[in-house]
This record gives sequence, C-alpha cells and structure tokens, in this order.
Amino acid sequence: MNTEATSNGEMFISSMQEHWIRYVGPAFGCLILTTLSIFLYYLAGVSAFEQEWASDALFVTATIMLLVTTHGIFHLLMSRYLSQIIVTDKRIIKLDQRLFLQDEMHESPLDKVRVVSAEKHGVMQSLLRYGTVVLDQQKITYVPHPHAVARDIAHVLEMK
Amino acid sequence: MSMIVLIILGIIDLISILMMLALVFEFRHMYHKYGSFFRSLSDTTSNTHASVYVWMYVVITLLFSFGATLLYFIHPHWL
Repeated sequence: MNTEATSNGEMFISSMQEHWIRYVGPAFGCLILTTLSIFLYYLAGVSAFEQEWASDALFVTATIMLLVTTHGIFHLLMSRYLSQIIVTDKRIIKLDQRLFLQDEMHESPLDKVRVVSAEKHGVMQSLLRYGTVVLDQQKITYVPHPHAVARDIAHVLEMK
Repeated sequence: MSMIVLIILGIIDLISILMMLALVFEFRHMYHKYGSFFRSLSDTTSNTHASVYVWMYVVITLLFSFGATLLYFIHPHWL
C-alpha cells in the first residue's frame, strides 16, 4: 500500500486501471474486421482484371473497414488509458472515459461507508484476478485484485 | 474509373486523418484535465507512455491511409 499525503491532507493509497478483460470483446470485434478487410483486399486483387467494378468496390470497402478498425483500436486503448480507479483515505474515484462518448467521474466518500467487500465470480475472474469491490450498495466492477483493494479500503476504515 | 476510385480513396484518407487529429486532441485535452487532477492527489499516479500511444496512432493511421492508396496501384499485379 503506497500512502502519500497531499496538500489538502488527503492520503493517496492506490490507483489502477480497469482490468483489460473489459476490452476483450471490442478488441475481438476489431480483429474480425481486420481479418475480413485483408480477405476483401485479397478478393479485390483476384477480381482486378475480370470484374474491375467489383474489384474497386471491394478495395474501397476493405480500406474503410481497415481504417475504422484502426481508429476503433486506438480509441479503445486511449480510453482505457484514461479510465482509472483511485483510492484515497477519504474517497474512491472512478473515472469512466470513452473519448467523445463518455466522460464520467464517480466519487464515493469513505466516511459514509460501513461495509466493504470483494467479489470474484466464476473461473474467468479467479484465473484473471479481477472482480467487484462492493462499498455498501455501490459496486465498482472490473477491479484488478479486488481483495487487495478491499483490504486497503478496510484498513483505511479501521484507522478512522 | 481508377480516377474516381482514387478521389474516393483520397476523401477516405482525409476523413481518416481528420478523425485521427480529433481523437488525438481530445485525448490530449482529457489527459491534461485528469493529469492535473491526478497530480493533486499524488505524483505517483502520473501516467507515462501516453505519447507512445499517440505517436503509434499517428504513424499507423498515416501508414494505412496512404498505404491503401499506394496499394491501389499495385493490387491488380500482386497475384
């Protein structure tokens, strides 16, 4: 646990990014689109002499798909980079970022929290070490190592 | 025929580059907005490698955009 006092007396405890599993679905979609666009490029090459119109249409479609995928992947990467979970001795802050689509900051003050717990359900969450941290009724999902985070928060609550 | 396709590819390239610039500037804006917020909490939360993402994005977008246009000239001969 890394603690550090700030100018307003708030003690920083830890910060983390959301677990990467949240982005597996969109990344898989991008992979399928890339494969499809490569296949379309191949078809465009095959039909270049026999059916020129079809070849050109396939080529333009493949280019659009490839570029959309590129932008999609980097949108995902940069959004994940900005999405953070920050724990201090006074609050937990969750930044939900999707560039141009979503800009949310959820703040949970710890002085009102009575119970903190961590949940992992299923094989995937156990193997990949992610889960949910529950603060009373509020749930923070896709937290890497949720038990360690819950332990840190419980430690802060004990100190109060 | 190929001239029409080249114009379409040029328009796609232009849209792609504009989209890349919009995303990079939005990322920079958000990075500075939340970067100062992180620094107010702790120096240890300051993220590194943000520029790596940005430069990778710029290079790959330019490569794919102009690469596709160049590819158009050679694609009938690659098989």
